[in-house]
Amino acid sequence: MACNSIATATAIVKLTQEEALNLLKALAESKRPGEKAEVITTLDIPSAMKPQTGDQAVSISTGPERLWFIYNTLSGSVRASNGETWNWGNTKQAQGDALEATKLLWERSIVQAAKAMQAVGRVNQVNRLQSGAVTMKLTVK
Amino acid sequence: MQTFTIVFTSDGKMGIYAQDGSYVTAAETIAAVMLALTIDGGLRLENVSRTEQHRQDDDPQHAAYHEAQRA
Repeated sequence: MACNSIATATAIVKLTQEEALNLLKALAESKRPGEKAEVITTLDIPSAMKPQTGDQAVSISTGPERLWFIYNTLSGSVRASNGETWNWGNTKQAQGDALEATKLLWERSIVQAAKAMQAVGRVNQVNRLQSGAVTMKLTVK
Repeated sequence: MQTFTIVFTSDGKMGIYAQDGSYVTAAETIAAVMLALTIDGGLRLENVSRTEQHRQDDDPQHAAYHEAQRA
């Protein structure tokens, strides 16, 4: 039994604190395009989210729209204040999830920028390609 | 006024191409494009770096540019 417990604990905790926080920020910002997530201390985690030992957290948005995302370094689980949960026990899965979130956020930002520039006549012919790339024709002086 | 084709790959790379299809590396042009993107487009650009040595075959923005030309 003791050997099984040690093997399980080793398999779960694979993200460094910096990696976990970067992934949490990417996840949060994918849920709130255009806004910046901030790292918060465990003391600022709402009691309704039941802070636990090993929690690391980020928060995004303000007022009633505020969201919290918590990664637990012991279990590898991620929980959000809107009820969503993920399991980041596997590092590759976590990195894959964050990469997808980051790509989506990037694409949304580009398309939003293109639309804003189209409105002022600086951009036309915005294309979204199958590869996920976005192209546009931009006029500059 | 000049028109450029701007390519954004999904992994955060950007390429700028002139109307004749040539890859733009001039700092002034890159600056003008980035200014338009940030001021007129409201795009947030962080940790921007420029590839010093250009490799046409390997850079993903070239593949995206050619894909766009075929589309």
